[in-house]
Amino acid sequence: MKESFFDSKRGIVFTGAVVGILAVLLVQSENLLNTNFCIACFMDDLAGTLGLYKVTAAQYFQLEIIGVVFGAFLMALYRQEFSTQGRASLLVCFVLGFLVMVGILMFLGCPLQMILRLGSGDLNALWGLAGLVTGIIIGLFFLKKGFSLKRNYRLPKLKKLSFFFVMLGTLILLLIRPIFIYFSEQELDLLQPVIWLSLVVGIVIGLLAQRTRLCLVGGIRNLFLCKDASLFLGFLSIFIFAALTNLILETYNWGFSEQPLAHQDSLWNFLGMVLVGWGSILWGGCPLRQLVLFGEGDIDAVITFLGMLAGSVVAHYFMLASSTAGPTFNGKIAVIISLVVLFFIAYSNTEDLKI
Amino acid sequence: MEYIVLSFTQGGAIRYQRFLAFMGIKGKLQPVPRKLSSSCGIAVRLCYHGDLKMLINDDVERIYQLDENVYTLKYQAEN
Repeated sequence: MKESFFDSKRGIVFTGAVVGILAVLLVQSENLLNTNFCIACFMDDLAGTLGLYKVTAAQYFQLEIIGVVFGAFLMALYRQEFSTQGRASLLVCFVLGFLVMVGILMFLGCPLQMILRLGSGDLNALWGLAGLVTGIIIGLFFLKKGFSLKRNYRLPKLKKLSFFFVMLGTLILLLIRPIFIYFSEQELDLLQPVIWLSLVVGIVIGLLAQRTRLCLVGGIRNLFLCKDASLFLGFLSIFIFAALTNLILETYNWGFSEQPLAHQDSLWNFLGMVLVGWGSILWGGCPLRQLVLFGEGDIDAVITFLGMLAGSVVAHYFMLASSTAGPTFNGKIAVIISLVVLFFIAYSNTEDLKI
Repeated sequence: MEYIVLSFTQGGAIRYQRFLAFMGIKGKLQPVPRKLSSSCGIAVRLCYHGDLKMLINDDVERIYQLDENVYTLKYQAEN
């Protein structure tokens, strides 16, 4: 039986190309809050919009997140792959989400943003890549020793339409803008086409990412574990096409300095992404993948999402997030503590290491 | 006969490979085939000619027999 396009390597390369091109084009066309296409940063802004912290520059309801979840949901419905399931270790999923967010805010980007930064010529992201790979290798050590978050169980089916209405309701909230939804004081006209373009781009990415299982952490994992490069090709494709798009748009800026939303502290870029790679491999996927799983009805992904939101709130209140000036002292302490906590989570859930 | 075994978790797949090794069966880790699941996890591929029940443990979610690129579901765990 002939393999379908999206089941093949060509499908994942195509998906990576679409993600890379659209992400760059969207950032260039938006130019709203000097934001980049970063799933975790979008979650961070969402926390601000919900009033969980008050940093007015970061209160913007990122339609990309809704789009990715919605797109994944639609594709999962179409392919009859929507299924509510969850594990017994939801608390660990929450904590992993929290810890990964600490790492992301140290590096100032999730794995997707890291590739996009590499594609724009930001060499600081090389330290992030080294950290991500190192973290994944550490996580694989625990996996090989028997780490497990226990199996998942199918839960009573959420009515599929109710899931759809929750997301539609979220969009409606954005339009109505009730008092409990905060927006930055910058003028944001929600009828601007570029705002809705971000929703469409999110949906397209969600559709494709669900169809091809695009997963940045999984791609590197499979390289080491299975000697299989098919998922990694998506990762590579995003980088190549993002770089080409930046070169065409003349937004390619090769070097370490004067990079938007990045700092040059190599050690903490590295350690932040070690935390991200290690945490992501234990929970089974990068933040983009968690959004896609959210759209598929995976309750673990919902809990992880909430953990990441909580992480961003705490990071803002305790000044853990880095800036272009570099990491904060509190942020450095938080990353070290998070690595220790992650070690204990990994150790206590690994069969062969238990006394 | 060739089989593809899907586990509930990626850790479960690795553990299952060790279980097979304990039974003297060589299992190869590979990505879960896209046509079988939307999971980006790990599956185990093996060649086996005995009773299928010997391959079933708590880590097994589904077992497919693979025959000329056609997958046939042979076992699925409850819930």
